[in-house]
Amino acid sequence: MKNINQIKKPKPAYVILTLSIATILIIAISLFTGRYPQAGISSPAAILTDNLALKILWIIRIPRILSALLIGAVLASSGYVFQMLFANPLVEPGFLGVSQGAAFGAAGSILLFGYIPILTQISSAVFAVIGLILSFSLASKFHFGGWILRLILAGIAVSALFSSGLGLLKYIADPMNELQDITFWLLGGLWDADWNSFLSILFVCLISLIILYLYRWRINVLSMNDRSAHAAGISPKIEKRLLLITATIGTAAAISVSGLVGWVGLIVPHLARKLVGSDSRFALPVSMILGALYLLICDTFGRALFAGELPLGILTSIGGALLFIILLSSRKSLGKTV
Amino acid sequence: MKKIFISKPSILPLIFILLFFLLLTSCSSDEEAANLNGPTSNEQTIGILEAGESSNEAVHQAVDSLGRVISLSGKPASIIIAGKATLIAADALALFTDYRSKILAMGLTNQGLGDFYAFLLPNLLITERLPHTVSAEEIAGLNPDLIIMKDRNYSSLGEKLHKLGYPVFSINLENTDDYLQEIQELGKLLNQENRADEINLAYSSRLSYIRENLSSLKETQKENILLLYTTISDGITSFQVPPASWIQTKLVKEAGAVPVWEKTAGSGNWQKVSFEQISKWNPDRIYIISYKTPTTIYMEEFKNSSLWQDLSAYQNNQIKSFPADFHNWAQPDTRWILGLQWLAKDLHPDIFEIIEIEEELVSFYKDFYGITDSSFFNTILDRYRKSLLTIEK
Repeated sequence: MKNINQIKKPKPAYVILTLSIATILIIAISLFTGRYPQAGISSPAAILTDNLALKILWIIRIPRILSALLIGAVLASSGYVFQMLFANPLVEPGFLGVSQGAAFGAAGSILLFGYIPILTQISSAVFAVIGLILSFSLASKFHFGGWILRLILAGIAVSALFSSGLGLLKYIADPMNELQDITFWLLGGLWDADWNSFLSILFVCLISLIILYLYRWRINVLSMNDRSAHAAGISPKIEKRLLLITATIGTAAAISVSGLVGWVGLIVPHLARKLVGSDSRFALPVSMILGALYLLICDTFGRALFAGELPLGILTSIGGALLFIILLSSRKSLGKTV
Repeated sequence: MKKIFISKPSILPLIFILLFFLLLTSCSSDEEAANLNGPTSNEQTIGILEAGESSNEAVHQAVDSLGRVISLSGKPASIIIAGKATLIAADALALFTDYRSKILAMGLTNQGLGDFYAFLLPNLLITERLPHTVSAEEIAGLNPDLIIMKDRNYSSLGEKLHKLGYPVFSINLENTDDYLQEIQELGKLLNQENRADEINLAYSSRLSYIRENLSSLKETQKENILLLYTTISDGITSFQVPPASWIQTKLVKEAGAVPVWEKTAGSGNWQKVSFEQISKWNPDRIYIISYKTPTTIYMEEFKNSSLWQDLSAYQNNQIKSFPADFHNWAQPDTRWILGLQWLAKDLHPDIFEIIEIEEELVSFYKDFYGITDSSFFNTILDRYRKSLLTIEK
């Protein structure tokens, strides 16, 4: 029987090239998929000769596709960084109070002002950052355990606080109106994505992606124990903090537009490591591309399958859970790759 | 040796920039936030003169509830009612009887008690109804001449449709004062100003009658009453009271009573209240509202509850359900006037002895919706009668 380390993986460059080509293909298909001029895939001729279809393409589909790609890449790469730095395959980018903070912020805004996309985005982004700041400041006040353990505990505490606050807001919300809006936001979706929302997160997400990409070399070393990292000339405590903050800020920006989209940051890094191994030089960019691809596919289904929008979080969860089961059932164990 | 690490200090300023821009992104949206309800009226004029359409057709303009000026050339031949709270918009449009046949598609209108539109628009199959989460693309695929929606949908759906070039008319209809004005504006847009006048006359004559007859009522003569929106979830019944500005609170005041919750209610939303708070208020009368289900289950529960038996309203047999037909009458749809008449009569039977609610009900559907079908009246009266429940001590 072959050992896991003996299983020959394809060359990372080929994987990246194949995934890039697949992404371009899916983008092309997604551009011509929707509810107008017909439900499903329309021919390019039908779109290009119809003024309204062209407007829909420019005003609705393109910013939405770009948002899906950007958010998918950020969530997946952030998830990858979290899993590597925490040496835990089950953490995801919303871990440090960010997801629950964003959810609390969004719900509060919906309750106070009704569902107004721009206000909901602002409020969720602000509370996501507050969640992050609280987690870090709490971790620095804890007096036991290593830095990572303290951070995990602080993240759990902050998430629990925001979660109870969210529960209170949902309890207060009118079941006929606001509760429906809150629930829909919590399920995630890109139905509000337009050029404004895309451009509002573009800079933050791009910088976050660039920093993580440039640091992919160091993530390999940072994922080892601190003594090994020191030996390699790295100050692990500072650099881990900086990477976590970068990943979390990117995530905060992303979910301020998409709402809570689960599983992308959890399952995609596993898939990436499955494809190219756990060397972050390759696994991180593969995570980015896979995340972008995964979210784009889910969103295309979400907006084109039925007359009403399907929440993105539901689709990513279905796909993610299925992939998770397949990966865990596979003989090539996942745990070995982390 | 090849340098494979980027230098350490380079990441710090980048992170600060990142954090700064994330917060800046949030703050820089002030301008957009100031225009949450859409652009100002001067920026909003929408001309829908289609290519090839006769330019000498009259252009009808109206101001919607968001202050936007909407222009239509000629009469819209196809209308879509979209987004959440479709019922409110649908009921308003259906008052303009000529335009019912122009409804191309609309959202779901069954709140749980039945669907008035299954009767009113039998050709509009339930399978053709749009989900509340309908996308702009889906609506564009139907290519309507006009889209009407509750204004809370504008920022998430209406704005996209506006950008695609569709005229979107937003309505609010949340309070009695603005109601008639909004109907007037809708009439202007549809070139049905006479019909709008008729509708408003029908409303204002009923409203004026109640106001005139209650004008001499002293504050001390007014009873303290509580409207309780009741829901059940996971077997737990919860109670909510409306904000002071909502139509439910206005109905109570117009009907010559004091809403006990008015001073403590929140400003923007239903507010949950506990039984302790209800006991503290201990109102003279309690009216139970349920939008999704018949009130029967709640009335049974309260009747058998030892807690409720100590309330004054219970002792005086004054815990009643607020009436409904296809929809509960305590909400900002067209039936609010029926709710007001019923409540006024229930509170002041001597003053409003002349009002016969069943006759008013039939008259409402005749005057407002032009319905003459006697079987419909049997149905509607049956629904109304079944909705009237009182807890007898």
